[in-house]
Amino acid sequence: MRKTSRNRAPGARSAPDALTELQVDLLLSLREGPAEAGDLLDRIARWRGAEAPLATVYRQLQRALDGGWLTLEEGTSQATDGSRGPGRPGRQYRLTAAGERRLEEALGSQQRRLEHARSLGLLGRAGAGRSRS
Amino acid sequence: MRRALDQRAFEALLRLSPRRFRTRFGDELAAQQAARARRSEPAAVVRRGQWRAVRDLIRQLPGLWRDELAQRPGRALGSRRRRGDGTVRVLFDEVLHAARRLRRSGRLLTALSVCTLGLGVGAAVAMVTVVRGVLIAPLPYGEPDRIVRIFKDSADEGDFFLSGVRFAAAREQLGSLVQVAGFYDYQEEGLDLVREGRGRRLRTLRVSAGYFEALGVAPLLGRTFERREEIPDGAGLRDPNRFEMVTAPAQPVAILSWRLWNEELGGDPGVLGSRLELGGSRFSVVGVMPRGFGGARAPHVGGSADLWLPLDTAAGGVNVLDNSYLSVVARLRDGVAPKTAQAEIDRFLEGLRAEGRAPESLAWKMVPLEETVVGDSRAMLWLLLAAVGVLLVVICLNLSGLTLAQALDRRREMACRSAVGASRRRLLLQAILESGLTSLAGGALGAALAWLAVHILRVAQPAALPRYDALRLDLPVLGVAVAVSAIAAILVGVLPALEASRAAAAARITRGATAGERTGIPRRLLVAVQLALAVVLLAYAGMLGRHFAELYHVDMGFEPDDVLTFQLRLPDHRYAEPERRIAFYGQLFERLHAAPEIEAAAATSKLPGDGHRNRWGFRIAGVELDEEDTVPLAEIRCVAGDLLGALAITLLEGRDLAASDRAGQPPVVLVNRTLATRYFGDESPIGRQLLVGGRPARTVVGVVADVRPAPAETPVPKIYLPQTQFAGNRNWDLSFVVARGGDPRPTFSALQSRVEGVLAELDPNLAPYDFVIYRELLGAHLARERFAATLMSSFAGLVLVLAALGLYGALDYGVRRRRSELGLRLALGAARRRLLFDVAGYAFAVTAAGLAVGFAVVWAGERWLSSVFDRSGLARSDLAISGFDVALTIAVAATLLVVAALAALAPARRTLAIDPAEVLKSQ
Repeated sequence: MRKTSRNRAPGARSAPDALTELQVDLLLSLREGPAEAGDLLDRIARWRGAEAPLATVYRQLQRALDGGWLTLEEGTSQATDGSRGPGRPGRQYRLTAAGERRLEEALGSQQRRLEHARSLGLLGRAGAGRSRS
Repeated sequence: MRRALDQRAFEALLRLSPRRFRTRFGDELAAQQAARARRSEPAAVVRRGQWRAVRDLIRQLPGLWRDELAQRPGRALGSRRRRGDGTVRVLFDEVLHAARRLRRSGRLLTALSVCTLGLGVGAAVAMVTVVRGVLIAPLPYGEPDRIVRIFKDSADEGDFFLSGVRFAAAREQLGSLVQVAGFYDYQEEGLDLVREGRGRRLRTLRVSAGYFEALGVAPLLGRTFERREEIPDGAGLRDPNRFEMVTAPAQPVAILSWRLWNEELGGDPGVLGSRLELGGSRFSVVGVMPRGFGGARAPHVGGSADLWLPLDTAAGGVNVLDNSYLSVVARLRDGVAPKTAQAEIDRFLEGLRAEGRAPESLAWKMVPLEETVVGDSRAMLWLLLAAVGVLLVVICLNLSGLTLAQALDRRREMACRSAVGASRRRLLLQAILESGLTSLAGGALGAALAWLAVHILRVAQPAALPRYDALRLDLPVLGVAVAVSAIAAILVGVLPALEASRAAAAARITRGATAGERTGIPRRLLVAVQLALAVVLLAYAGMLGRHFAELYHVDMGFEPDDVLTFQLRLPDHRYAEPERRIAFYGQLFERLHAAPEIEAAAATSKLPGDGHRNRWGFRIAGVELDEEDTVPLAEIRCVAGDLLGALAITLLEGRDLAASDRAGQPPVVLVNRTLATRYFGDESPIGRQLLVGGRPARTVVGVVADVRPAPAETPVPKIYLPQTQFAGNRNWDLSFVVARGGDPRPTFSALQSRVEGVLAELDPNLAPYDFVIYRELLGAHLARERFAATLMSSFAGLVLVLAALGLYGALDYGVRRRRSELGLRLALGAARRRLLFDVAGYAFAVTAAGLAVGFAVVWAGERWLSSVFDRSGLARSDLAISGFDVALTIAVAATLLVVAALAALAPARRTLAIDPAEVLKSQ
């Protein structure tokens, strides 16, 4: 797993920013289409197999918005679950072109890593472990 | 509906996030959290999830702020600051990293460091609070630095009272003092307030006109006393030279304290002019003093009082030249220096002497009021503050040693960081920040502990501390806490930081594990300094402790064990006639002596050994005096019952007072040995006559052994008068002593019940109070000595434990670090005993160095300390504090060596347990 900036010791030179797993999950979820917060969280939970911690997700949302990978649009809710009925004011997160590029870069990088692992004969062992697909 | 606690906690924490984040996501995030609470899952599962979200938010908060700092204008993505060179960001990064390091490097160790430091900071802040409240905070009066007290400066008696006659003259003639006022605090006085059929004992203080003005406090309602109210009706008929025991207020007017006004009169604003029935007389209320005045303990201006009454200053009565009974307080006129006022007082007395109206020896001393309040406590408090300072330094050195060991363990990390570009300055910053965070937490804990200590002091009201009511933990004191923590952070962090960064710079990455290991000297030095400071504090604590023990076990001249004391006041309105009081006491002692569990019982106007004074002038019949001020003085004790029996005071000559010495019979007295030898020399005083408080002359029928006025005071001349022959002029406040007898001895509570039962049989409306075991009462008079000795011993004990821990830490670390070397030596054939000597030698060398330096400091400072003890009032009379002698030297050295040996025990065992084969394998 990539070393995140959180674990990087201060004083060491910064490595190029890399996406965290949750950031990849976020961008990937929005690749399905724009979503309100609730739907977005549901998509991530579905993909990860467990609820993502809220504050962590929102911190990543903020970073993605600051990085220009997402936009936040005010609009009318399309959600249909319970009290959050359609037609009320809502906000939608949408993937930008820059976000798509960043996601492709990250997935490409993962792809290369997988191929390298396969060439080392590790994939079988990796596959025997935890899998989300 | 009330929101769940987790939801409220979540929303409260959300408020701590950066504003930009809050504005953007706050509502949405809170809504999502609330929505998750409505999931259709078991309630317990939902709650757990909700609290998990709260914990997640706590964890994300630092990161949110870090992101926010990076996003501030001028710190955009890719900017120079974003890359990590901005000061704020660097600092923030370092703080976060330091917090993580502390968390990872061992919670127990961090908690221990925080607690130790908290203890030190708490002790320091509490002591600073005490010093500030007692020594620095101004007294609660108007322009307190201009208020002075005037005493008769007597070589024999120390600071003493003035006579009413001289006070009246001084008041007229001293121009450098704008107000000169007298008050009667020679002994406590009180009157019974009778309202709606019930009585309440009130503490009264008789004061002259100008008393409140001298203190610079105006009444809340009404007015203060006027000169005319000092003159009782019919005073003009008195013989101005004739002593007569008159203790009544001059006029029936009173000024009330705020407390009394509220408690008894409901704070009625129309109270002025109303009448109170006090001790059978009706007093007109002329004023009410503001809240707090007279309510706090104020022994320097007459003590706390419920109400003030006008003092009788008319000539005659008690106001004769040889009756010195008056305390005087005055206010310096604006622009007049104390020296100028003292010079004027000296000129005034010179004038009296020139006219032959004063003896040559008469001298007055003017002392700032603050000095009389703080008095002997000043030096003691500075001494204790210094001891706390030593404790704090030892704590810092201890933590510094601990941090140093940790830092050296982290050489590889430091070297890595240094290799990837972190500057030495940044490595230093990180180390200091880590100690800073510990110190911050320690400071917060210390502030809390100090608050607790100050609260306890205010509640406990220790007699050793004047002005305990002025103790407050306010912002300036908390500022001290912050400053002390900051200094501690630097002390704790700098040396390890320098050492570790030096090691890192030297080691870089290739030899990180072994380079820069020349670390023994600083740690050894730290431990030696701690041990030296422990020696210093142990020595001083030993001196104080020994002094306290000597005082506690001093021969008082009587036997206080097995004796219970209590107070009883016969209400003035029901026991107005002397015969009635005498009859009551007669019956009381008859019944008490009849009780099987009571060996003997007695009452006296002042308890032996309680430190109170009631000194009267007396004359020996047939001996003429040359000058009025050379009248001999003696402590007067009005006694009833069997005092010698109850307190086992030895009768040296003649006979004891007897039941037959009743009113109408020839008046008799007992004198103590000091009076007998001082005024009668080798002659026997038996049969000689004394004039005490005027006529009639009283025959000396016995001489008794001396008793000390207080544990730390030498005996003074004393006269015991039978209450039956001396009770005509006043309703004395008597203190009772009851010695328990029988086999088995009753408990003190049983004894108290018995006394209460007897009193209830005689008069069910009487309420005895202040039941105290005599030994404890005496102990209370050693409050200052006990306070100083206890605190100093506590500090010394703490410092000793810390120094021992420091030594243990150094030894243990040394053994761990040298494990490979020791294992190799064992493998090469070295004897285990030899290795053990190495460890013991290290411990001994450091301890010896600490002892040598510590003793050098103690001996060098002994003279200085003696002067501090002298000024602190801790060394009094014939029981001066002994110096630092051989016995104490041996005791301190032995204590330190034993503690050092205990500290070395575990590391020594670890050395013996080294397995050379295992060491070689691991190599």
